[in-house]
Amino acid sequence: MKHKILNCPIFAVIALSFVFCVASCTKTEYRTVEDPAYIRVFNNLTYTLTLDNKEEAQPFFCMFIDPEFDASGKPIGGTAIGDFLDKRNIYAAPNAAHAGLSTSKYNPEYPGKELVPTAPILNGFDLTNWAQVPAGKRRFLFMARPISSVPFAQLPDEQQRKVFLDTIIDLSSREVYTLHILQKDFKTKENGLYVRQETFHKQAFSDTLTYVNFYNLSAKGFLQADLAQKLPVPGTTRSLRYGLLDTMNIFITHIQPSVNAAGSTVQQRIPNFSYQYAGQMQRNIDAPKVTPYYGFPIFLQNKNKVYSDTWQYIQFFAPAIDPRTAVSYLEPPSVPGGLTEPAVKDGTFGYILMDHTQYAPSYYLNTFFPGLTVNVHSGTANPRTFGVVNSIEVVNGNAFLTTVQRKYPQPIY
Amino acid sequence: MRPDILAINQKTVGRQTGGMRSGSMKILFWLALLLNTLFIHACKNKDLDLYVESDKYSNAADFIGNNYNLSLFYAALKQADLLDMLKQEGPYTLFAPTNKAFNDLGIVRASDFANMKQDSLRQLLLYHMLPRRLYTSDVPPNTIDNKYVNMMEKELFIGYKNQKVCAECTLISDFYVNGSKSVLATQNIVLANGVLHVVDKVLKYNPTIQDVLNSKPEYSLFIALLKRMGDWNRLGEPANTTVFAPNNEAFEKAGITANDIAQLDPGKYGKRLSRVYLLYNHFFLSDMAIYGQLPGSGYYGSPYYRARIVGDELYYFGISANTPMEPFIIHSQAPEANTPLRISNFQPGYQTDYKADNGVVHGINGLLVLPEEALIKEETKTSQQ
Repeated sequence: MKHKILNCPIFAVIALSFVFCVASCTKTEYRTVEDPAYIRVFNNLTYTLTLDNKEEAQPFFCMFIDPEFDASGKPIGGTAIGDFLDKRNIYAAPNAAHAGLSTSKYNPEYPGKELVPTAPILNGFDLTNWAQVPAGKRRFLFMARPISSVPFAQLPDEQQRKVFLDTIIDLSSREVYTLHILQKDFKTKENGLYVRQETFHKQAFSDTLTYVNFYNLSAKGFLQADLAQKLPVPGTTRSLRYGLLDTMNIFITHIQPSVNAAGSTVQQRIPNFSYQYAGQMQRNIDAPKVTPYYGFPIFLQNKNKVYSDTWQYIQFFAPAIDPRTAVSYLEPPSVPGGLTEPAVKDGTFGYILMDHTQYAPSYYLNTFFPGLTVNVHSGTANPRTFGVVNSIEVVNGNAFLTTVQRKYPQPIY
Repeated sequence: MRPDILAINQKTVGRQTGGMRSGSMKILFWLALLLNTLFIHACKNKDLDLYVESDKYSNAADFIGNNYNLSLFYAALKQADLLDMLKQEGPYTLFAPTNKAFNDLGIVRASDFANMKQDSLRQLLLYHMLPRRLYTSDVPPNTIDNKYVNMMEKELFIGYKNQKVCAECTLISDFYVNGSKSVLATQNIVLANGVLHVVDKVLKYNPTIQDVLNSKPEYSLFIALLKRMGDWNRLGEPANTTVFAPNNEAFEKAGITANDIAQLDPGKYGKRLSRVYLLYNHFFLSDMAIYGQLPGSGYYGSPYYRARIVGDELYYFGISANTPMEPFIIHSQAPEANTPLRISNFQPGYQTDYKADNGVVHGINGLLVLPEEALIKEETKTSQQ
């Protein structure tokens, strides 16, 4: 009798179906994008609403790519949705740093924290911060929304209808794009989308150098505006607060920390790598174009083959001012004290310090940035310094650093 | 797993343990069958209707009638024949002024409404209602100027401050409609046909700012000054103006009479003499509480608001950072950059936040610029360059 039951095929069928039932719960569907373009979206509108500019839209968005609308004209979906698009961080790290660590829904960039298919490694560049979207003509719709952690679709109806920007852009297949929501005119408060096709993955960069280029994406008329009108921006980069002239020369000075006889750290510039001319920065928001990259060597620490602790002191000067001969500017690494310096207010001088030891991410929009190199645990070396590709964007008195890294060997513990 | 392997294994086990095992295998079979049935059965989701609408809420008319603190509002609704409407389906949102709010306007007993024109009373009351349900959660926190069309088909400007600075701090949850405040305890009162928020001020509305000022005899000298200085016409135009209106007492304190104003020569005075009271903007006093102070430091360095006086740009009008939020005037350049030239103060709350289609009027009780201070001198002209 017992043998009959156990041999009975029904028993096996029941047991198997149970197993299948349980196993089916973990079905995974992978999302793929046919013929993709790679995009990364930044919201450069850092203003806060005050009584003076209260009629402007809240600079906090829900982005729709190829939006779909319901019968009443409200966006309800699309190819991609990026909700909680907050103002960008001062530093856009080369890896998807916020994805696993942040507990906030607010997204400092797109894709940022969104779980969407990201771009592959292209010519050695790690593009996990770029999202895949189908190439071709794409409609981008940015809806202004209140700052809260309520998802867009669950907001009250009237708050889902504030169109901020609605535009169509053409994306080519397998190209890399950086998109910026920018203020185009400081006086009329006109805003627009700035689309830059990146070329860093096509350029012949050396592994042993690190690169940086500069953009001035400030609004028309920002520098010329009344000083008081620039005040409400909270904690803005001190030295760039009032804006820079449309054409500025860039000088990079490399600073090497060392320990003196008394045991304290001293910051000193490397004499042969001081005031290095790194090209010109021109204000350009109408014709997006990649500016030339300036490369410099990684100054490895003395007796250390893999690690560098130098940092860069970047100065912006109006043309004809030469920091090597002009005596009225403090010599790096000294920092001018405060805004009393007349040049800061008329936009002929500005500076930023790429010193990771002074950089504080919690202090939004200050003068200090992480370095123009990346120090990570790679192989058996911890840390090891790698050259990366950086972009520094000056937008209405703020500066932002974006870093792209190459693939490097994974750490061995 | 292949069924035959399973069967062989089971056969071996059965042989070793004998008859005892055959019973338990049978049970195991039935248990497996049962488990599987249950598993499949679990996929079926029967709709459970756990939510039963409560019928214990009263309608708007009954709620107001049963609330002693809203007895004057009830009397007004009765006088204006609106109670029947408030018993209907709705939905309505009511901003119900307390008895204290009516007392501030000089209305102390129900019979006081009898003297009013029924039609304008009706309009005033409809101004306090929205033809929809609006809970505080529908308004984005820490925002101002959320506009909702009321039953008089005018926009109400709603602001909401919802802030908890630290885990142990008290939750600030203030709901403002046209500058009238509803505190946490009296917000979101659920009604069968809507929602009610108790507010501390009666909402006041006139079509234009000229109408607001004309309707109040205490501003006659101020009107005379505006007319004399050529700033009166703007207040009838659609462009927004927020007016900080000094009353006649303020002029008397400064020793200025109607005759003095009539004899002013507008060309001899800086624009600030009259324009210090006019902001080319639209805001309620509560908007400053919601947005908070401007960045900066110091008593007058980080005020709630500061704006250049139109036509006299060396001077600023501001609202100071201290608790009574004093309106002040300040010269923009050193050495007086952080010391106000003159300070005033607001009239009581019920004399502020008078809404018109083209702005708001707030009563103040002192002059900010005396005529002799605004005289254009030669040396002032050179210092302006």
